[in-house]
Amino acid sequence: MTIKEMREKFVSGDYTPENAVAESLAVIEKRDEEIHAFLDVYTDAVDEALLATKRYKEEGANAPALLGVPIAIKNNILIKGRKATGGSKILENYTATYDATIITRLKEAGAIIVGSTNMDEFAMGSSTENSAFGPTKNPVDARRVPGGSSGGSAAAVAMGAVPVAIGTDTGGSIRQPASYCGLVGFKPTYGAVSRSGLMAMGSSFDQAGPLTTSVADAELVHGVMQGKDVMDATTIDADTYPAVPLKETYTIGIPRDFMKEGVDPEVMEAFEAHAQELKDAGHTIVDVALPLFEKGLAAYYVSMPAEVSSNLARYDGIRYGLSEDGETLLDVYEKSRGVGFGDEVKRRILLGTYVLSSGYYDAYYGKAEAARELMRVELSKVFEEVDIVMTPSAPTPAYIAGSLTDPVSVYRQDIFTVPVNLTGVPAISIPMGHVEQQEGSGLPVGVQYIAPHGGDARLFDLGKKMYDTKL
Amino acid sequence: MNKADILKLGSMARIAITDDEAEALGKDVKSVLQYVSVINEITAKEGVTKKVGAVYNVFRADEVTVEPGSHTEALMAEAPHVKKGRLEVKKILNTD
Repeated sequence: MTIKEMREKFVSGDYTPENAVAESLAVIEKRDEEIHAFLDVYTDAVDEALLATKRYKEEGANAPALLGVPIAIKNNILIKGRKATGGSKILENYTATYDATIITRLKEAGAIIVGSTNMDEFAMGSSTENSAFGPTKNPVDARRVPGGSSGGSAAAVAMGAVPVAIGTDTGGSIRQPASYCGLVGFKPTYGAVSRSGLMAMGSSFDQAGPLTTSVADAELVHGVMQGKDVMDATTIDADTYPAVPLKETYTIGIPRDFMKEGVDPEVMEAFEAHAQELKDAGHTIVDVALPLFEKGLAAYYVSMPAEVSSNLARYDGIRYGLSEDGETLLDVYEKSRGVGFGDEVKRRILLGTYVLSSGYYDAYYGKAEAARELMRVELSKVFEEVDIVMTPSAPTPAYIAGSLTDPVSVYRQDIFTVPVNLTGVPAISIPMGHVEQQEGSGLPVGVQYIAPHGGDARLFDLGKKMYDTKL
Repeated sequence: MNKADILKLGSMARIAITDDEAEALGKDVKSVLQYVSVINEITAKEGVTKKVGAVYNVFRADEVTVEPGSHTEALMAEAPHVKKGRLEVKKILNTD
């Protein structure tokens, strides 16, 4: 059931928030032992559901937009009084002392949080195999990964526990799991949504967004979360970027050179079929060249670890989180971090420390930041010619858990999503079909639409035309 | 990227690294650094230099917006070692 359908029933009284939350908890009870989408389940949500049900009787259609809607939250987003682990052992026993701005807004809109979801440790990973609390499985095919790092959020929606879950996206962590699990996943324009109360990974990349079963639902939930926040100086105003108008039909650019290598033929087939659907619907498809985008992943794996190494310096074993005993203060730092962080986190902190160290700074970090600027210029030129740029969301469907071990092969799963975060533009992944693979059939794959800065509404517009009409 | 390099990076990043870890991390860090070296291809041709973003003040006024002390208890409750209302830390100087 979509949020929109749920809302209509809540207002008419056919179905109540109590029914919705009870159903949500029942699905978790039935399926989560196998899937492990949730780190924590908040059974006291039934109390809120009772109040929400009463409010609908009094307020009807005037009730807040998300009143009574069960929602799941990635565990790197702070909810006051709830455990916020970030998927890491170093925060295993940490309880959030305040609400993230987006949580405040979701609560004000009446959403009922039923649980926190599993994730790759500190959002570093593309499979949710890197959680300190064990992997999440893909509800479509439990042998496969759900994608990541917001894999728990994606699995929670895909298994039918909630109509929406919130994820965070630093290099594709909402869009790639959406693609793997057959969902809609939205990464807003950088600055559209407050990062206050999100555990920082790559501060110049991170954005929070919804995973849903329809584009209209993603638009609704994003609408609740977005907007200027005094607690986050990087949040933008409605007029920060020039208006990006909606149109009857769009000109859509495909960077074909970018897809020549490393994309599964089945994914390309589904992608070409989607391009044909767009043509049939009256849109225009053209080829565009984005040569720098092909190299974007390299810039990402310099700038992101650099930011990671700075941001994760705060986990020191002193103020909160895991603290290992040591002789001196330095011992406490080194032991707490050595024991508390997992392999991928250590790998990225060391990489970041290396690229920021004196003597290498200009060769790596300076160049990566310069490359980002060149990519922004290249993309803005392309957007003078086209309204939307389109790629597959990921080069493959969900893969079998444990089958990708070499870090660089894992990183390549993000090849189409990372350039979006490097340049700060918005993008959405919507399901474009299913593919057959050896040992697996009916695996969902997603298409990614990318719009200019501030063009979030254009993505929802085309997404609704191409996907919601099929629901 | 040998073992000593990794241990040095670990010490700069304040992470204790075991010998076994150092070997695996050395291999991984090296392969990622090789992979990211293509950034030189992007920037060499264009001859770009470091870019400083548009300079304008994004900070809000430094005003106290909460009652002083209103968060102290909750924050201190998360600290692993507290003594007389203060965070307790180990000695910093090694006098040996």
